Amino acid sequence: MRILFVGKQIASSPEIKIVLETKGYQLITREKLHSAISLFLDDPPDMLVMEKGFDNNQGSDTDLMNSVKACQQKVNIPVILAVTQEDIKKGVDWKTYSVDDFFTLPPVPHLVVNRIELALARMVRVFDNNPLSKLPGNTSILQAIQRSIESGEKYAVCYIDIDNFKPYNDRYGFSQGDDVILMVARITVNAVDELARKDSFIGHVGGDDFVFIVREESVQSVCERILDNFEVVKKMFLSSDDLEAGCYNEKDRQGRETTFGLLSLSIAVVLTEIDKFAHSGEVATVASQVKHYVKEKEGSNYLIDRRAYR
Amino acid sequence: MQEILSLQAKEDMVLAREVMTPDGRVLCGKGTALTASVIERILKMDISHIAVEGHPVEIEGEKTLEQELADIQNRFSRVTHIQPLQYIKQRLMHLLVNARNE
Amino acid sequence: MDEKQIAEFRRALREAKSLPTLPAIISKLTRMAEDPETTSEQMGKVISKDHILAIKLLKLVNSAFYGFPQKISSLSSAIILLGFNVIKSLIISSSIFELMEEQDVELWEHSLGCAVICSVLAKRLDVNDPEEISTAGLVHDIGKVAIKMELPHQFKKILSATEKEELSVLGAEEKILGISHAEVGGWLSKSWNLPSKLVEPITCHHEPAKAKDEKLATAIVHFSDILVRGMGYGHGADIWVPPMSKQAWDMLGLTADDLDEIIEEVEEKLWDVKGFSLEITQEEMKQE
Repeated sequence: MRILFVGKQIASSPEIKIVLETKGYQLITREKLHSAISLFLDDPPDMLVMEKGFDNNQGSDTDLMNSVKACQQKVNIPVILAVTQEDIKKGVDWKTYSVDDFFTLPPVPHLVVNRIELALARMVRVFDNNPLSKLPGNTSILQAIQRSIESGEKYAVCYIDIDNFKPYNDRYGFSQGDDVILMVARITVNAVDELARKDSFIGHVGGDDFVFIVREESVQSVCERILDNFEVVKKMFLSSDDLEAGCYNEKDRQGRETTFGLLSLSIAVVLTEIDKFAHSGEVATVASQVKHYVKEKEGSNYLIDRRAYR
Repeated sequence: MQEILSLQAKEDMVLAREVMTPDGRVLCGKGTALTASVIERILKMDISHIAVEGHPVEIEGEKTLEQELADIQNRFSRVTHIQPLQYIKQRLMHLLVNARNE
Repeated sequence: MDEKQIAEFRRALREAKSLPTLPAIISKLTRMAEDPETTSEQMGKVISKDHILAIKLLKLVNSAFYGFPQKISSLSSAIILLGFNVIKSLIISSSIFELMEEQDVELWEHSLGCAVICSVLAKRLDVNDPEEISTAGLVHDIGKVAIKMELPHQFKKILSATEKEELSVLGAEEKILGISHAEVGGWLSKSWNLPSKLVEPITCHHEPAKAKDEKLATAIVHFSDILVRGMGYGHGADIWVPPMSKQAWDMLGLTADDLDEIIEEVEEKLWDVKGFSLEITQEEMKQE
């Protein structure tokens, strides 16, 4: 278990180092932003303990947090914040510093160690995260949908589905299929993050089904971005022969040889409007109707539920 | 006449050739004197290069036509036995002469 | 170099963490990253013009940690999958304290020019994914950067041999190191888990007959490398156009008319590149 300490005070405490190493943890220290980030890119540690405002308060701490969040693809990396008594008195904006725990400086070795161990244990316990994509699972998704319908604001709840996924898995194998799922997760996260981060949510129901929620005004640009990017990246996951042919033959669910189109995405969008739905289940019902229509269309498409479907 | 990067354009330079927009319309005719606003429009349209009268841009180490042609010969001097490359060499020399003669 | 030195070198390559990037590009990207209006697409456009950042991104997206080992061979896919925050992190972590030397700019221009020609050629030949090939063209000479970084002493000797003894870079490399930058690039890209769509063109761009799976891509990069030298855009330390493989030439199947059109198209596209180059130099001067 490798733990990264970033910040002058915590990095230079020999007692913490001794206590941690006795317990079998490997301690790495950094004081500057760019070398800390380098570590996350090259050889990420299992956990980050960071001083608020390290590197002279130049916003380095939030930059580092964004880097850590951005690289949380295959693992969850807990983050603990070291703050001063003054920070606590003033109050920390926990929305910006979306960390897992904190402690006050100067660091008390056994306290710090306990916080570290708690954070690691909690990582395993708390979330219903999908093991592949690390995105929140069904329970969190339903809660998020419920929040958006009760919010009094207009949101779009979007269901992504990978078309022709079963024959793809048959043809390319489950490992490659998993890579495609991960790829869709990543494209979705990046699109939402870059175009509609405020009040958004992304979840992974399981298999090849994803749900994301964004404010209504952003939904078209996000869907377009996801579909455009998917068309570019999917080439990396298809053989040259299949790309050339534009389709391939595999057995369908009934065991008959059928021609399937290449990978494509279908996005079914349900607008929450205001006071239209009382319960998340109602959203899911409308969604399955929209899904039915959008999946019938060939290629990658998105369809927004309006009064008329066509 | 000098072919220059749009980024190098300055006011009062005179166009030696009309400037076309990416979709094929004429933006400014030959002989137009460049103003700040014209230059801005050219840059906004992503037009990378234009031809201007005279030789207003000083290029460090700029060579004469003879020197440039000799350079090309020299560059291709170790592949004289490879026909397609010699063809390319001749083509490049030909284009260079044409460009300089305009 | 003897066997021991080669093993030592390969080990150093595997552990090589940073390659020096053009400071002007980093500062341009840093400003872009700090502007809330910048999109990852815009940053992608700038990154796609820098061979060092390109290969760093490819290394990242193909690493076991990020999830797609040996799968991602085109820069645009790498940018889409990594996303803005990761790209920003990469920019922050890239050192801006490297001095930009003349050969670095020459190599940068050469790499960019080669990418442009690969793109023109790949589209002409109706290849499935032209962008993959232009990515290969962009990073084909990465071995030269690795040699400069890990064997600076020999690198200087190679440069002086090309000047004083009028050897080609390849010739000087063989003489002083016993291996070529193409081979070195191949080791580096393989140890970084890049797909063979990139590894082969990098390794075989001077000897395309040795390519096995990516013969066409390698032939395209080989030819583009030669043509960009022929057009005099960006040198590779020596000024001579290297020999072209007959096999590669036959595979491309280009006629004289094709060549005329290609040259014309490339001339036009190189202006865009020159424009970018000027922007970057002006950027450099702003820093001073």
